[in-house]
Amino acid sequence: MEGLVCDIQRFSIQDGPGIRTTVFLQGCTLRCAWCHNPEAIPARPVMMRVNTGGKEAEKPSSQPMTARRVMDVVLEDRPFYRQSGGGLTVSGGEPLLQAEFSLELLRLARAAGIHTALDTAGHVPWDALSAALPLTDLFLYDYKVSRDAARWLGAQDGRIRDNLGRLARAGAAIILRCPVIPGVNDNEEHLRAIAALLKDHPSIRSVELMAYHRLGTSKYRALGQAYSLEKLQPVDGPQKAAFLAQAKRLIAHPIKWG
Amino acid sequence: MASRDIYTREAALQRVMYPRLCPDMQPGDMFAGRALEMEYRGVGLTPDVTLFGLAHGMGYFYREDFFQKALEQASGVEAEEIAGMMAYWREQNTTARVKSQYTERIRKHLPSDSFAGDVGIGFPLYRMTGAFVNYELLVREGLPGLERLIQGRPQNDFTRALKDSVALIGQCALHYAQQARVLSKPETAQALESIAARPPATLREAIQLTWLYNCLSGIMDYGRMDVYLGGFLARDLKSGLLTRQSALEMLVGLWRLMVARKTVYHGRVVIGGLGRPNEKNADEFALLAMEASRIVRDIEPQLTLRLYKGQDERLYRKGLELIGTGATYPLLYNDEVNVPAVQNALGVSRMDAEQYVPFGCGEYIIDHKSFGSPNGVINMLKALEVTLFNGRELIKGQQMGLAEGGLTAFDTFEELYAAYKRQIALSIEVLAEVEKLILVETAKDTPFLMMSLLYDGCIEQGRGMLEGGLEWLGATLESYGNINAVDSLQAIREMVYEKKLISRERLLEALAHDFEGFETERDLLVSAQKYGNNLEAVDSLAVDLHDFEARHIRKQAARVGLHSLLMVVINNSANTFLGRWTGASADGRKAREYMANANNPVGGRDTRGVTAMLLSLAKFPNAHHAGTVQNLKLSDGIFRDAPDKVKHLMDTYFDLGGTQLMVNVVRRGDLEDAIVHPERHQNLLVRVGGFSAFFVTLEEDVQQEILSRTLH
Repeated sequence: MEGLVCDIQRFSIQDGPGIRTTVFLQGCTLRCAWCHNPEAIPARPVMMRVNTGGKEAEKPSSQPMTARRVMDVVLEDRPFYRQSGGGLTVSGGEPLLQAEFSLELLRLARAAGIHTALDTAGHVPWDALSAALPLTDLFLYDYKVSRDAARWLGAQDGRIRDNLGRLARAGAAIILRCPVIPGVNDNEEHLRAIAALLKDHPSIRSVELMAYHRLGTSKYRALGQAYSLEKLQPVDGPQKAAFLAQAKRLIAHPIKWG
Repeated sequence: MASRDIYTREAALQRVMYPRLCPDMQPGDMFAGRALEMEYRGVGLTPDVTLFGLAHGMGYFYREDFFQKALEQASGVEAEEIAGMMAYWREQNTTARVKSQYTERIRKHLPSDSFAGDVGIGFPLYRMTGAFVNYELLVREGLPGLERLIQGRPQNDFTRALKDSVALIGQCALHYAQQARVLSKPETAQALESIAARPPATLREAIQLTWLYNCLSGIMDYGRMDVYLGGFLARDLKSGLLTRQSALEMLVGLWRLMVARKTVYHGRVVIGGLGRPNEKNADEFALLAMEASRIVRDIEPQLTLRLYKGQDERLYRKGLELIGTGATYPLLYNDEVNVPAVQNALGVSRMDAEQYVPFGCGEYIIDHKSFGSPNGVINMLKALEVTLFNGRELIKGQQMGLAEGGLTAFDTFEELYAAYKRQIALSIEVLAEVEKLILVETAKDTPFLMMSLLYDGCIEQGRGMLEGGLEWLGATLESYGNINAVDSLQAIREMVYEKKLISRERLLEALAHDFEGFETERDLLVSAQKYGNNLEAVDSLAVDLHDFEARHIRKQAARVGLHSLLMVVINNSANTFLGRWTGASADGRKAREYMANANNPVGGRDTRGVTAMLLSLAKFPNAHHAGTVQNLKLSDGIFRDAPDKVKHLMDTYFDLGGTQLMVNVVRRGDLEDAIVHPERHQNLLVRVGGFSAFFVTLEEDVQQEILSRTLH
């Protein structure tokens, strides 16, 4: 089976426990204003202008690859997973947009005895999540905004909330991943909403607050697209610390700030 | 001069040199004794004269430049005397005497001995360096005890000269005691007076004695310090003579003297590892030593942490914490792999192998039982160049080595590879012969009294270390350009022989023209598999070449009569220096460019991530060499965000068979910025290979080489 793979990142240390390999898949169901992987949004590969060794070139955002070939790379690092409790993370885009391919990767990883994580924004049919449930050791579930979803995500968020609830009730191990976007969701109301979710769903283990960064900006240029948050700057030290302190006051769960 | 008494002569010379040449104690010095390296006068005696970062000679040395200056300023009888001395020492310095014994074969195949300044495949290195002596004996017996030991043996010229050396150390201690009094340092003065008369009783005295000995002997590596000082530290802490803080200040003081000594490639302080009696005391010392390095944060000492499973976890943790600050230290050594490897490579017992220590840039020897110098240098990439061009090299057009027809004569890759191996084999054999000759001829000139004093076997045998006193007399051969050679061979296999995209003639033309006008060929060669990506074909080639070379070198020991002759794949800046004299290579490297560091992938060619690189590194077999060094360049963000995962990364590498790791933690962009704004980055430490340096002080192409390494 073939899928469209944007990137295979080894020694991935931000996407779940231990040392992992994260496979980024093409296509997304959301249009988040701050997206740092805009090349992964369309369902088909897009051309990007890249500069390699002084030479301008065009390069597609993803390549078709068989699940076997992807796993050949993933399994090279098995000794590192064993040592660290790491494994495979399937991410995107929205990996469940290529649901069959994602499931195949998870299945092969399971068969090889390595830890599996799925990084999803949850804006997908429940069937896809439910099929992933028995193959996934850990869900990295994005929870981005508590209001104005249509404006910031390009979609209503009812399904995201529903799916999170169903996943949690099914007993899935979940880490909630919350990007902190200055002026969008770095407020008390959003933190309270996160706290409420945690209270409702005990199977959510912890929260990761992910600081906004501008590393995706150059990708918009490579794609020849405008970046709507061009002027937005990451928050600095004291402001960050204040927000984290507030988060710790409101949320009883372990918080990771990355 | 066949029957001259080299013992009495050396003792007499020492009397002339010391304490006359002992540099004065400085007001800020915690201990007395500054090393002589900066004070080399016209002639003198030392095991390793390193000048301008290059090995300059051993034993009786002679500096023409120094004499020339004196001659210019002199006149009349004085000038005549100086000229007479020059005529004598030009021929009678040890290095010259050794060279005068070279065989026809050596002169033919090693036409130059200037690896940094001339073309060649192999080069001898003139030095007797990297001694690790018995400091435990020194601090246990003290000077009077050593004298008693010598007195207890049958007397001969050697033992009499040894006794004189012991007495001289005592005299130098008293010489410095006077200076310490003048500088109002009563504690230092007292310690010096005490060690002149008694075995050291405190940490201060033990450090003072060993440091003074190092300065006088010319020994530049400092041994398993946690073993020989751990007991003193524990005792002084227990008695209340020292607090942890005051002990730390003492180590910081010692470290600063090491910094001032500027040995660059030496200054090894080994801590941790198997085979340490009183391990608890040693561990406490090791922790303190790492703390001292955190405070001093300089290029020396080269703090070396040996690790084994079951060792107090605090050592490893503390080491990683230090590395995370960008200190480049400690260097990590994996006993689980190294002890059995050393056992096999050096042919010693498990118990002796547990006493392995890496000297200088990383050559393993057995603590106070073996010696691993002189060294030879082999440029593996140059050997390939000469093979491809039928015995001609590209930089000067000089003829050298074997000429078997060149690339066009080899119809298969296997034929080329076999010819290349014959080329290397020849250089190795000649280098083995020259190293043996250096040892034999040097032994006729100097017994190295100070080193012999503390090398196992010398007092017992009544003989100098080079003449049978020391049982395990070995040598090492430093190999450079290995990975560029492997990548080049792979590129030729793929593009010339397998895919036939470049003809043999065309490749030679491209190399001879340094790829000018051959960009397409260069792109093709660059696109071939490269080492460091965990790819089967090229990695197996790397392993095969490494193993062939290591075994062939090792085999020479028996032929030339050495206890061991072993390959080391280490680094100083030789990868850069040798690169300057090496033409364009088939891996896409331009002429005169630096070569990759030690066993590391060519910078920027390891594109599949740090795990793939470590998997490649861990493939090398280790039972037949005396050390390889590996650099890992990590961004500080990784260390900050996930220290545990970094530890897992290293642990996995070690479990897979990794021998050693030197970790450079740098901030993304800092190195680039340091080239533009050196004034802002005076403190930026980098690991060059076998030594650390402040980045801004390095030569431009050395900087570029470090910059080129992939940052993970």
